Amino acid sequence: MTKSSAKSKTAPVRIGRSSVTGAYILAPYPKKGGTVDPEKIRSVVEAVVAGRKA
Amino acid sequence: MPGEVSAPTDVFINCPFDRDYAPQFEALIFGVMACGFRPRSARELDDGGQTRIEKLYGIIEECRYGVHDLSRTQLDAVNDLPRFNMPLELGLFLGAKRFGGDAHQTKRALILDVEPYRYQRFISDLSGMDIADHGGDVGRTLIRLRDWLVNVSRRRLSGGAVLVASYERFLAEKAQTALGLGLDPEQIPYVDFEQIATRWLAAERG
Repeated sequence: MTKSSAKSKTAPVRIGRSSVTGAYILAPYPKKGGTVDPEKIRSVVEAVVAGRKA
Repeated sequence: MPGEVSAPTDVFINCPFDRDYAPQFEALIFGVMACGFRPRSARELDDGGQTRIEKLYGIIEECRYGVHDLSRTQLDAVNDLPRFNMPLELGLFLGAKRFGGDAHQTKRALILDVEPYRYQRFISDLSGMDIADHGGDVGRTLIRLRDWLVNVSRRRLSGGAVLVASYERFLAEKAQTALGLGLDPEQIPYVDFEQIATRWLAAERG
């Protein structure tokens, strides 16, 4: 693996901005593991948060 | 040969993994993410092709920041011995900063313990370094973390009380989210927890 490809794999990716701290929220460092599809996690979390705000 | 620090966003979380510490561990992960950084932990290591210490070398090499909690330096009930992994990994981190060349001189460490001066009785060579006490309290742990990250990164972030209130809202909805995903709220796998926390922080906006 070249250094540039390794860097692109692990470079920080912004997925939003926190209204709490004002900081950009970064996607987790890419790693193996996890039992649930990240897209399913996103949809369930957004539904829970939207339910509270409604 | 000195390595490269991959990104000034990565924070090595060097802390106990026992059940009693889990609330503080999860709070540290959440707090690091809420402040705009990425947590790195031995929990992410599942590659059987490397020894554990080699994996830790890699994480420490790639992290500019390190949070080291020495609060488990105490005799355990089973073996009557203290846990030394956290002091060992703190030593590796400080060694990388001291001997790792220019790329590692910017490393910064937050050292936590339950009491402010207890460390002087078991690791007195750290005398003169700032040790932050959390008293085993999740809220105080979050505030210590946030204040330190602001100090070392010079970022502008909301105050600690705002972060603690946000974490309390997250905890209430974490359980609901876990159940919606078919997970046990008390035993969420680490990688899934990271995804839940980041997505919650992103969705909380607006």
